[in-house]
Amino acid sequence: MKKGILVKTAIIFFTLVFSINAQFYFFGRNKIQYNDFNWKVIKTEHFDIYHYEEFSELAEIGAKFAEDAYDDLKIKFNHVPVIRIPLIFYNTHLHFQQTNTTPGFIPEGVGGFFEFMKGRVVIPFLGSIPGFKHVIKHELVHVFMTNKIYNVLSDHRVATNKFPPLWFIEGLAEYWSSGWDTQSEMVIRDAVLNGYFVPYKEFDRINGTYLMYKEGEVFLQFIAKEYGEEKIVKLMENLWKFPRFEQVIEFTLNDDINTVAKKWEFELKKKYYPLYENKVPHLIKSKKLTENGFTFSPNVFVQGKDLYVIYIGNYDGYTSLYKLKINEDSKELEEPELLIKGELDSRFEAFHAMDNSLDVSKSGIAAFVTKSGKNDVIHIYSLIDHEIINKLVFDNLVTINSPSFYEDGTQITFSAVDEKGYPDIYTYDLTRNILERITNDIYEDTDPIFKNEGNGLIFCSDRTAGKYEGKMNLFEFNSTNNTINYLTNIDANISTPHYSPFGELYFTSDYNDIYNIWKYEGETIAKKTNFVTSVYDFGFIDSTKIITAAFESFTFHLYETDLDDEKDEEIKSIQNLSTNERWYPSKINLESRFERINYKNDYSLDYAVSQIITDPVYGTRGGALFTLSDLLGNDKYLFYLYNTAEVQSDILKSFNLSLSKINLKGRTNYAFGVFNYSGRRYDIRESDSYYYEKVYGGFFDLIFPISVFNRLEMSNSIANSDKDLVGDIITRKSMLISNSISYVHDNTLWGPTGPMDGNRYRILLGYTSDVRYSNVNFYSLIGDYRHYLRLDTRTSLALRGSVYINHGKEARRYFAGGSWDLRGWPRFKIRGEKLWLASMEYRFPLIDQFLIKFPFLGIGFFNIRGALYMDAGGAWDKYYKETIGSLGAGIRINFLNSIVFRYDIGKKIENNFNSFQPGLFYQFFFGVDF
Amino acid sequence: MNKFILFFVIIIFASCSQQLILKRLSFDETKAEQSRNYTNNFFYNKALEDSFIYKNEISIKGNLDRNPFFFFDSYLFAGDLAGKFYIIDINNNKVIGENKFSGSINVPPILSNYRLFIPVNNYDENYSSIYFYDILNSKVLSEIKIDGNLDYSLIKYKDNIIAINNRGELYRINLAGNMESKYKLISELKSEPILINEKIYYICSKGDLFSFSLTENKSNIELENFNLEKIFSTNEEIVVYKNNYYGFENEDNISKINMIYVPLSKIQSGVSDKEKLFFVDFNGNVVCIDKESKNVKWKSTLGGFTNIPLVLTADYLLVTNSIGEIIFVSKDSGIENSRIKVEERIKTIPQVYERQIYFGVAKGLIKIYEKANTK
Repeated sequence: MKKGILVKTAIIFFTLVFSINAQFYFFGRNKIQYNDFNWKVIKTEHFDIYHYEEFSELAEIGAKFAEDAYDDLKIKFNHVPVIRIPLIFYNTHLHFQQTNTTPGFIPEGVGGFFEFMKGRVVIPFLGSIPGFKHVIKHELVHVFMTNKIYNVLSDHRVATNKFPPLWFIEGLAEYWSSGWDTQSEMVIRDAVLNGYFVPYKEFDRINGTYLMYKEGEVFLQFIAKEYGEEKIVKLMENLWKFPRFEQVIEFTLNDDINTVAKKWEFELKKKYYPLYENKVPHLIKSKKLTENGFTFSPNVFVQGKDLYVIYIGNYDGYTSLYKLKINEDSKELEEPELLIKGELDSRFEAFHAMDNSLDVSKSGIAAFVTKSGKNDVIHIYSLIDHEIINKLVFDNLVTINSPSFYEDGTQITFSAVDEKGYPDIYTYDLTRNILERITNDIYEDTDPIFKNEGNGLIFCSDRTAGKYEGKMNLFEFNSTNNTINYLTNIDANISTPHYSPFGELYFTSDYNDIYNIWKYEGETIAKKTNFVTSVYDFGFIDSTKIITAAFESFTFHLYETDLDDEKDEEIKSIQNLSTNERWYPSKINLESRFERINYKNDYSLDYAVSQIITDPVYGTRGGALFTLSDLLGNDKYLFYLYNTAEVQSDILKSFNLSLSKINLKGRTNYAFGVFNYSGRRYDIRESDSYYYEKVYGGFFDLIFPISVFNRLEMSNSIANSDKDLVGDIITRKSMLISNSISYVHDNTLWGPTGPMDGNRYRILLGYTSDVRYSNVNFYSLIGDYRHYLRLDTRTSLALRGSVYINHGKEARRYFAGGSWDLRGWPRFKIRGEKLWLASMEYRFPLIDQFLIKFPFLGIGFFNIRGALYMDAGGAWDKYYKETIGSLGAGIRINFLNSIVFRYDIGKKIENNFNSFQPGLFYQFFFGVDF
Repeated sequence: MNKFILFFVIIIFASCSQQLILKRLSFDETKAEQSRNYTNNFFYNKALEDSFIYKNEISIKGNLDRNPFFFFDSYLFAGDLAGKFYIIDINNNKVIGENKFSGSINVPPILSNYRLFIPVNNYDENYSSIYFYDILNSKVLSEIKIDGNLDYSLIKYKDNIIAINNRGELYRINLAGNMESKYKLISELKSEPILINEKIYYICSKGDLFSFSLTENKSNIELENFNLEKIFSTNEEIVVYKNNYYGFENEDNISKINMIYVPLSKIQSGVSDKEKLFFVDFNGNVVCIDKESKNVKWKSTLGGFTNIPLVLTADYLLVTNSIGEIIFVSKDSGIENSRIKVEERIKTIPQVYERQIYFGVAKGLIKIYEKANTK
């Protein structure tokens, strides 16, 4: 597995402001189904394995891993789920991001998930077979745990909605799915040594973070070692007994929780503090080159007399390409120069900061990888001319990483994953535009570089067979005889090989430790740095001076450092006799025991909600909502039924119902359905009056995403609308056909309570006409533009300007007022066929952390934000009336990452912005910022 | 008006109070408890000679733990995980009395002269309770508090009730419902202990075998560094096992025990009669071993997840898997004779009593199957 992928992405994901947002009705980015997958299902003993045709081989391997994990977990849990478990595989993370099993966007740090509603496990293959095995087992631990706990609670007839805290859930999934690895060791080591290790009592503070996963895992390891492995299951079996999980721990371990926590901390300190005896932190030995954010993939570039480092960085939530001048004489940090701003448009949709995705040739040409549309592409960028000079697109290669130039810059080598999921090595001749595939198998081949001798490549691969099977060793591809040979065969992982200016081969390895830099010396390899936390990548300034990308104090930064003169450690490069054998993971036996069938939509209920309400004015009424979807989430049905009758005789004519089908399978999403609505409606044209309306008809909606950031929407409906305006005296009949087309753009970056950066807009044109009676005919125009100006990392100025116009016969009115638009003014206060709104809001951090500690419970509130705002707007039918508005201040809090609460205080402005209304208004509402 | 209020008060009190165990209960005291098992060896020395068909089911509140029953005369006594205790008349399979405690009952109560010792793992408490309960007067006579949980069966030994908690402590309680003494065992127990003569044998958390003499009230080490997991006994032979190894020896020669490989993945449970040993792993693989030659007589693969201990009769081995099957395998050949299949998860060890088999399943049901033929 590529070192650091999980840790890097997880840390970025959990630390930076969110770049994701839900695809709600008005704005939002697009989740695009680029591929039309031909889904198959493998029926094994306990699983239904969903995969598409190209991924058949790895799906069979994954199925075997799942069955093996099942056999192990059933003994560990002393329990089995009695239902078949659906496992859905994708061949890469890019394909995984297209899944409709969850409506939200999936960040790169998510390596799979277990979804409770349908019990689905959804997993991408990330190139590494051991990694695939780990994630499958990790998610199955969730399945077993959920099922076991449900059974324990229902056996005892206690509420089944009780669950252990997240640190236990994820900690156990990690603990029981893999052995302790280098990443885990590095993160915990760093946390203990750099003082950000979070004690048990404060786990809430890191809830949902990567650190929580790892601390949870280490805590359970400690419990198993100190109190016995069987206590882990007992913690779940005793869950029924106490209301709080802390009590469950104390009872199960028969020890006070403070004592347990202290013992744990002591064990960790005892283990890690002695490391300083012979290892050194980066900050002590090296000169730190970057501050704030995260920086990766350093590449040294000499331009004239000046020395630069080109790197991938994320300072502001957008991962981008940067250039930094190295001034060896100065202690001051230079200001980085932004070369390519990433993640704002579809050309550079996503940089893969966690991979080695950048290389710079001696002549000043950079090759870097981004997602661009369906697949990854390689951009060739001139550092001299500051322009993109080429873009390498390969239809059959889904993800690409670790590009590396040949010395003269005419060829480039890289690793890529194809449609089958094979992670292999390729070369591309930039002058002749020829792509050549070097390896073609299931092994994870990565980080290739051209050999100095010019007769092949050196790369890292987990094809190591024999004693150290599956370890990432260094291999050599000889292009004269097309053979692959071991350069190293050690019980460790190796990555990022680089030649020094003198042609010596260096790389990073986790041999006996976390990742440090080693030198290849033929029969031996020698350790050349001895840092206490990992080096992820490096580039040479000269033969002894390097720039490293390293992890320390829970961030990734660039450091300038010297290689050690002495060898810290030296070992044989071939420790096990090289063998030509190949290892191959077992697959399930499809011929004798199990079968593969074509996927057919398998619908099940997502949720059903019903409600009956009684109020003193309107009497009793009730309704229900049902949704069904298929297992892959591509096809959904919504059925809605509601009755608004106030007296028995109205029941039959007061049914409201709609039936809709939504299809998300292809790139173009569509929905159609029929509806019948009837009942008394509040007339927003004339206040305090009602009319009876019966509308029935059908609709067809279509959404075409142009890119992640832009889309076209089209909506058509036909409806028969009959209104009784005053009793049954005045009636209005119409047959309405309504068509609209919209263009939507959204590249915003979100903070805890709303957008922080970027912009979004929507333009809509529509026409509504009564084709039968000509009672209604009007056109619609909506323009809504919002711009978010980042002032610093956590502060921004939000601007909004909107115009809504309906013009014609019986044009519908728009309305405004309230927390969404004109704050302080009541909802529906301003209404008209034409309406404009403008807002300006200064958003800033107010309180980072607010903890309340009761004797029995502690509550923490985080990221409380402040706002200063001013709104203005006006609405009219034929003649403009007046401009009103408000100004004030407010606070916002994102509660449990699920709902934003807002409280505003302000003064209303009236009389065409000439006077304030007396007194202040106070308004509480929930919902994200505009 | 006052009468009306009084009526409502009575109704409210009646609905809030626990349902009482009926006083009409009477049974023949000369008949001993049956199916009580202190050896952890579920062997019924009688032939079934038949297949079984569904007869009835009894609905209770919570689900049952693995070994929750005992029979006395024509009554079945059971406690469920929702803390309810039941007396069931097995002539008509009706619950004739029940009582609710706040917690869960994981192991069966012990009956002594119309009084019951009911072990309850309390909800939201660090202690469990043994309620000394008078059946005839439907009231708790005393409550004996025990640290931790009571997950191992209570043992009736002479004039004492022996309780061992999950903290590795042994309590002696007299038949008048008073705690007499408490002893610390070597450590917490790894699995259910057994009683042979006046000694309790148990496996400590490190996997060593200890005995606790109930006459001397002290522990002695019997087997060290064996990393054992479970124990059962038959005819004063002690059988121990771990992973896929087992060993057995008489009580007097236990120190000479040899661990023998058995062709299973990991032994889940074992059972034995005079001549044969039977083991099952978690994957439903069963082996029969001849005690004298120690050879495998037969091996059978039944499949399914087996986490319920084996039950043996004079003619059949009953292999229960958690997906709702009890498979009747000929003890001589390993060939399947018949099977009971239910829709729910089976939660308990099947209990053979007279012509019937009782077992608990999920959704709070006790299923009763009886012999298909009338012979």
